[in-house]
Amino acid sequence: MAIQTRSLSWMERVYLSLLKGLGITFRTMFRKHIVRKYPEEPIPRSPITRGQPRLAQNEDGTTRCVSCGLCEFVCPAYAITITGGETERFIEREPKEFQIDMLRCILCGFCEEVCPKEAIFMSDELEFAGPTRAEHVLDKQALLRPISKLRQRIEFSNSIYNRWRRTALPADPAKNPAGPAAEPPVAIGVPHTDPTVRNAPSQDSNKNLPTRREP
Amino acid sequence: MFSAIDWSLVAAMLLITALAFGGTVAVAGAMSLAERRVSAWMQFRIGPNRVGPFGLLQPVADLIKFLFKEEVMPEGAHPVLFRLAPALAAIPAMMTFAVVPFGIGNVTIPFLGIDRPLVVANLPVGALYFLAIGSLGVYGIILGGWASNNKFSLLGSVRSSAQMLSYELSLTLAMAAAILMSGSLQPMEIVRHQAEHGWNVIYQPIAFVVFLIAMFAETNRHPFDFAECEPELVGGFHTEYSSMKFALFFVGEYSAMVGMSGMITTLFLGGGHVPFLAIEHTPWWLSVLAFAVKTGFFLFLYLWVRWSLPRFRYDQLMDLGWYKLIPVALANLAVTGVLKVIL
Ligand code: SF4
Ligand code: SF4
Repeated sequence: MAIQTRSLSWMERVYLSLLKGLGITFRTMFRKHIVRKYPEEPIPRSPITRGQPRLAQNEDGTTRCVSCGLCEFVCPAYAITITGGETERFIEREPKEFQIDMLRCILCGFCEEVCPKEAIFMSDELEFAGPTRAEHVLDKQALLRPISKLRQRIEFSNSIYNRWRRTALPADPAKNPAGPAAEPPVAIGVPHTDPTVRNAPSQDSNKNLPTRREP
Repeated sequence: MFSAIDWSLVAAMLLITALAFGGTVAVAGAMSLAERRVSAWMQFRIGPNRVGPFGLLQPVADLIKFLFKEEVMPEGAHPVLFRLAPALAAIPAMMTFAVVPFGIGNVTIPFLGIDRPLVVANLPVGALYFLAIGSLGVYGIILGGWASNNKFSLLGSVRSSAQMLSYELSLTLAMAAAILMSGSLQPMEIVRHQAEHGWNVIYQPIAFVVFLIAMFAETNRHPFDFAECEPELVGGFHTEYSSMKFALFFVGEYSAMVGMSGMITTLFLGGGHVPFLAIEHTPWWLSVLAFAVKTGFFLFLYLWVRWSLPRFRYDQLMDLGWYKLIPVALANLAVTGVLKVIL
């Protein structure tokens, strides 16, 4: 392609047009800056923010996790270590210890996706710094968050994952007084309306993908 | 012989020297902060604001950081010259301010009762001293680049020496025009002449512009910073320098800027002369303030230009120096001389 050139004007040839540039920078000096003073002005977070995984805690202070071990199994980074235990509560099992090594975690969100009891969620906590390795291995006490704090994320993740679910699982309050019915109502099967999520995969979205041919 | 020494005179001179020297270095430090703040404002940013109120203690923090950094000397570097170069760059730059009058007239120093002019050394050949000492600064850059055994450093210093040699000519010619106007090489005299007959910038606008451009090239600042030239030469002559040696190059650069800004104020903007105010009626502090404001404007101009204009190409730089500035300055000098004789 030929390079488009244009002959310089008189102003440009004697470098007088440099003054124009100086004018622009001088005006900019008095314009508003666009920097966020980060630690003082926190980053705005929406439910779609996939921060560090946290365990949900019921209003009465009990854990929701039943130490089924699915998240430990699915975790691609082997970040989760669960020591199972029993409880008098209806759910019968709860973790004695639940550790996530945040130095291993890759924030993939698989644990949240796989959990059958809505017990582990990607929170909006992003800050992550410390001088030792040990303090990044979080135990159960450090991981537990009241479920009210995770409410938005729970609704959001349900609206995402439930699009693949044919039927919503109805809770039965008569059969199960201490169990799921006591849980705060969570929208199930509601298609997501978050405008930040675009092009979510549909059931037959891989129809258009080119098939890989075996040699 | 010793009894003839007037100790109060010595004390007065030391006081003025300390003021001028401390002022130069302090302003050089402040410039390192101003550079970052101004560049930030020009780019919609805030700049360093963490150390002290409004980040004002940032230069102090930088100094402490530089002091504790490791000094690295590259293999094959010349041990003596490598260590000498930063000092050679910084000391002449700080010395240039000695002949710049930072006020007008005399000041009576309290407790000593001595009348001294507001200048460190009121040399009769001050302008020559300024040029001579100022051009010594290029040795620091040449030696620094040569001694560090690095291709990029050497390229940077070769460029910078060629650039400073060619622009020194225009600088001197422009200065000569201003000197012709007042008929004296003594900066104090030049200032007094301007206070009585009007500023040189009115009578010598061409010399003023030439001096302004050459001043940017002499101090190796944008748009003529070919000694550093980060995108092409890594860091130029100071690529291999670390710690306090690097800081010395920086202090040298900023001190040279302060000296040059002071000199252009003295030569063309009437130094510490307040417009429409006779010398006799100007209190000394007001003249110092006037000088500070004018010098501050040129210091700001340095930053302003740096963050607005792109760097020249090297051949454009030489072209501008030899084919444009020197003929213009020469013609200006000739016309000034002829007019001076006729009128
Ligand atoms: S987010 Fe991914 S990596 Fe982190 S704990 Fe959960 S499954 Fe493991
Ligand atoms: S998948 Fe859920 S219920 Fe199972 S162990 Fe993990 S957090 Fe607990």
